[in-house]
Amino acid sequence: MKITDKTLDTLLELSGLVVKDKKEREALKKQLSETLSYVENLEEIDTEGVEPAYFSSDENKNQFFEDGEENKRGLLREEALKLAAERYKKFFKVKRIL
Amino acid sequence: MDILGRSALSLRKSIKEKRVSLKEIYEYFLERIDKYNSLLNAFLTVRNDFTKPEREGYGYGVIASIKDNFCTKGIRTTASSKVLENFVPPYDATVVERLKKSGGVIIGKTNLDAWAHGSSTETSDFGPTKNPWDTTRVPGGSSGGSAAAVAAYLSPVSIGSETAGSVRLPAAWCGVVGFKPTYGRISRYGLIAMASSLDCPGILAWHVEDVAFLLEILAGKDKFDATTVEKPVEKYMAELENYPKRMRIGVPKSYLKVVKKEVEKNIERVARIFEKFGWKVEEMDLMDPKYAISVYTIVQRAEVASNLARYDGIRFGFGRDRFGFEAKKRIILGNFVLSHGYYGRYYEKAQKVRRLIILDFKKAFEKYDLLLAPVVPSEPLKLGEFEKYPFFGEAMDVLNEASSVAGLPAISLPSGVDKNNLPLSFQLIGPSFSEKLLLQVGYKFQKETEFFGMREKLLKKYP
Repeated sequence: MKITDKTLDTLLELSGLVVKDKKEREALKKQLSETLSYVENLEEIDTEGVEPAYFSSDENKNQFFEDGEENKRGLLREEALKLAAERYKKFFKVKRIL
Repeated sequence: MDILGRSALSLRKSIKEKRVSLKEIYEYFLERIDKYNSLLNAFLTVRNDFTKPEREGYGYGVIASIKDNFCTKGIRTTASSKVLENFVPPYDATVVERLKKSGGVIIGKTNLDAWAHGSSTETSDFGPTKNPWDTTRVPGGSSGGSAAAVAAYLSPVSIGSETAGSVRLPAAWCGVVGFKPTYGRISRYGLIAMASSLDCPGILAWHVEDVAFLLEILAGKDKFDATTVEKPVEKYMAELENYPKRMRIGVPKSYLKVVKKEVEKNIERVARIFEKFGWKVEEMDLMDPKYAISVYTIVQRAEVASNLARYDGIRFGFGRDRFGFEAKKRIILGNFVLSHGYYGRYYEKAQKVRRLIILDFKKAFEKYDLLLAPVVPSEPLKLGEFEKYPFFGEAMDVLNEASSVAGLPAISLPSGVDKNNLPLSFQLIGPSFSEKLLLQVGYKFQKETEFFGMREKLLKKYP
C-alpha cells in the first residue's frame, strides 16, 4: 500500500493538520507506506469466524452515576475558562466556523 | 545517615521512627536533582519547595516522581509536547490523588517521548533524557525520564505509564525494576490518553518491595475509569515473601529468535537461577511476535487519532500546528486505518488477530504459571541510532506488544551488566491479575541475587 499526495492531503484534512514542507511530506509518505506494507503480514493469519477484541477483556461494563450524585469531575466556570486561549465574557472564543 | 540507594520503604521507616524528617529527605533528593539533572534531563518540572503531605497515611514518607503525562493539579503537565507547554491541569489524575491522599509527595515531573509515542525519550519536545549508565545512550522510552530518575536515585520511585513497553523497556535499559499491572488494575483517569484500550499506569523502582507497596496504594476500582475492575486489591506487601515452591515457567522460543546472542544467553542464566529455586523452566511455543507489532501499530494509531483529536488550542494548550513529526505521523495513519474502505482490512482485522493473541496466552497459562522472556532485543542504543532501525526503533518493543494488547501484567527485572557495563534484564509475564505472583517471584530473585550489585555499581557514578 502506497500513500500518494492525494491520499496524504485527504488524511491531513481529516486529521486537522497542515503539512506544507516538502521534505516532511516526503518523509510522511515514505514512512506511512512502509508501515502499511509491514502490517500486511496480518493477511497471513486466518481470522475466519474470529470475533474482534476491542479490549483485552470482555468484562468491561459501563459506569453509571446516580442522579443528583456529586460530580467530582466537574469544574467551576472560572477554573475551566482560566486556561482558554481567548475568552469573551463567560465563553471560550473560537475562530469563525461558517 | 546514609540515604543513597535506599528503598522508599526503608526511608519511610526512618521517617516514622523520627531518625530523619521527611523534609530532610526531600531536600536530599532536590540536591541530587540539582546536581545531576542537567546531565540526564530526567525531570521537566521540579517542585523546589517542600510542601507537607495532606495527611500521614499509609504512604506517608514516600517521595515519588511522576511521568509528565499524568495530570497534576497546579503543576504543569506537558506530555513532553509543545502543544501542552503551558498546561496546568485543574485536577489530579487518580493515581496522583491516591498517592497524595495516602501521604505521599511529588518531587517533580519526568520526561517522556512526546505523548508517550516512542521507545527512546528522544521524541520529547524538551530534549532527550540520557541513560545514566552511559550518557551517550538513550534510556529507552517512553517513561525514560522516570527510569533515569530512579536509576540515578533522583527519586526513589516513579510512576510511569505503558501502552506497549513504555515502563518495561526503559526500566530494562536503565537497569531498574519496571512493573506493568493488568489493564484495568490501576485507573487511567487523568493519564493523558494515548491508546485507551492499552494505556496502563506502571511503577519504576530499584526495589521490588517499593513496587508492591505503591501498587497497594494506586490499584483498585475508580468510578472515573469504567475499565477499572471491581476485583479487590490483594495484600501484595504482606505476602511478598510467600513465593510458590513449585512453578512452571515457559520461555517462548519465538521471542528468543529476535534478540541478540548476549540477550539470549542472559535469559538462559536467569533460567538456571530459577531452576535452583526448584522451578521448572522449559521452552515453549507462542505466536511469532511480528504479528503483535502489526496489531499494536494499527490499534494504537487508530486510538491515537481519536484521542489527539481533542487538542484544538481553544480550551487549553496550544494549537495543532505544534504537533511534532511523530504525533502527526501516528494521527494520519490512525485516520487511514479507520477510514471507509480500509476499516475492515486494517482495523477490524487487527482486532481479530488481537483476539487470537489473547487466546494464545490463555492457552499458554493453562500449562505455565509465568512466562520468562527478554524485554528488548539489544543493549541500549546510542542517541540518534533509533532512526536506523525499522519503524524508527519501535521494533524495540516487539517483545512487549503481544502481552500489552492482551492486557497482561509483567515485571521487568535487572539481571547484571554486559561486557560494556550496560544493564541486562528479563521480564516475567503473567496471566491477568497475577500481580501478587509476579511481585513474589521478583522479590525472590532480588533477594537471591541483589541484582548483582548493579545499584551500587551505578550509584558510584552518581555519589
